[in-house]
Amino acid sequence: MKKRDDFVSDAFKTKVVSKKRLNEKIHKVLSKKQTIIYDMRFDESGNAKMKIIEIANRLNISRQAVDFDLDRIYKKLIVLFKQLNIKVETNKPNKKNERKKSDTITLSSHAAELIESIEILKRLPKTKKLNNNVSERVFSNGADQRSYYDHLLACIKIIKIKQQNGEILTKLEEQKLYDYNEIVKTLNKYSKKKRIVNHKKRLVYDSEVDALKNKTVEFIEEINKTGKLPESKYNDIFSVGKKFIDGTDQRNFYVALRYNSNNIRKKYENGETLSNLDKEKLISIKLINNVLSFYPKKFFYNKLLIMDIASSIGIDVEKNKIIFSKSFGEFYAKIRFLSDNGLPIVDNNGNINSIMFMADLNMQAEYNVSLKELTDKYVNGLIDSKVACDVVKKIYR
Amino acid sequence: MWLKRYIDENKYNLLLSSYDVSYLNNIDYNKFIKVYNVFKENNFYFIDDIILNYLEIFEIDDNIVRNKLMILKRSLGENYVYLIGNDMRLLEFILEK
Repeated sequence: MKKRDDFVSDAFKTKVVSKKRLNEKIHKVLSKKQTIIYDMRFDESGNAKMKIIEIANRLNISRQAVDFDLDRIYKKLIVLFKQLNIKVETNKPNKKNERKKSDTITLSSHAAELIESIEILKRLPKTKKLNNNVSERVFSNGADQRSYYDHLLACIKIIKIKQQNGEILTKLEEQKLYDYNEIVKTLNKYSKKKRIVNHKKRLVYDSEVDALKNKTVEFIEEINKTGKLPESKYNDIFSVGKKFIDGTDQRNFYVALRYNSNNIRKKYENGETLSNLDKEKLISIKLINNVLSFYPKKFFYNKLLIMDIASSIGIDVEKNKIIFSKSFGEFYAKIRFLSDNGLPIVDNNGNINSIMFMADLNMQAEYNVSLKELTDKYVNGLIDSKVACDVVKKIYR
Repeated sequence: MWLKRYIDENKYNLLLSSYDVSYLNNIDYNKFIKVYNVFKENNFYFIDDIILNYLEIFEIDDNIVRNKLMILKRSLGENYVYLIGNDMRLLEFILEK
């Protein structure tokens, strides 16, 4: 079956125009960013040389953003090839027919999880509908619903596997299963149309991310000048910034959030009804504050990255606060070491492996490996810490 | 940065990722060296690991650190340095008020 970009190499094979000339014309037609992506993706003969994920990692953008730019590049190339009388076959999938063939629509697992978590986040704060025991448990622990739900999502897979194997669940695990089922019961099922709409929104969102990152800096400068919150811009930044919980630009986003947190907290304490947006803001503030309260002098971006991995693996973060005393590189390297050697990260009681809090020489005596060897193997040469998070999540999916 | 003298290059790079540079630049060298010497006197062989994970301890008064290490020695026994090396969470006792 032809891939969507095979027509590029086909165009070079037709020899209507020489390779050099064709490359020159392609570069003229494309913008600066598009030429960078094009040169990374294709070689001089139009053959694909680098995967889209690798391009995304190199440029430190999402895969969807690269896809979006490539679509634009292909459209320009098709027009150019027509002008040069180069005949190529382009694959334009008929979306209607595809849908008729199969009733299920496949989304990438990451997009599906995001859609689910965003939809659930909007509905979770309606605590009246939730079972009272569950809501008490969530709020009495001081935990955020968001982080609690993420924690549940990560643990549920392991718990369900245990159930299928007929193993006896601990009390904690039974409680988690119950909480998860209660939360799911309160939600309505989504129609297929909603999924498609949300998936498209996600692609558009990725392409706007870069522009909005710059806006946060302008936004903060405005606050410093006027001393007031420009509410009209806040919603844009918040809706995008919330999705940065796992990655970049926390510093700017956090400063922007902090300005608005006091008013919302007063409303919450006075028992006033909060809008959905206010609730989302509170939850994200609580999440960040929880993480910052552990080892306060440690760099918070480092801690958020560790939190991201820990919640996806199913590590009880409050029980194992020590992980926040680590640097991200050390934590990541040790997790990879344990997974590669088939060693458990967490024991039956939810306590993290002792390698996490051992000194270097003690670790060498016990596991026959030094911290330098681990960092050389897993950390050095790592392009981006976000890539590292994705790698660990894939291993434990 | 004078911290490089007390920690190898690999661990120094990890340290930079876990602490803000402004915090590292503002560490009091005199306090640091006093606490460093306390650990050295007590034959700690992993002071670089303590710097990497618990740099806050080096901001505490050296007498307090000395006293708390004595308490740890009494509770854990003569082998307390090795036991702390196996479980560095025991050092959090020094950070408690």
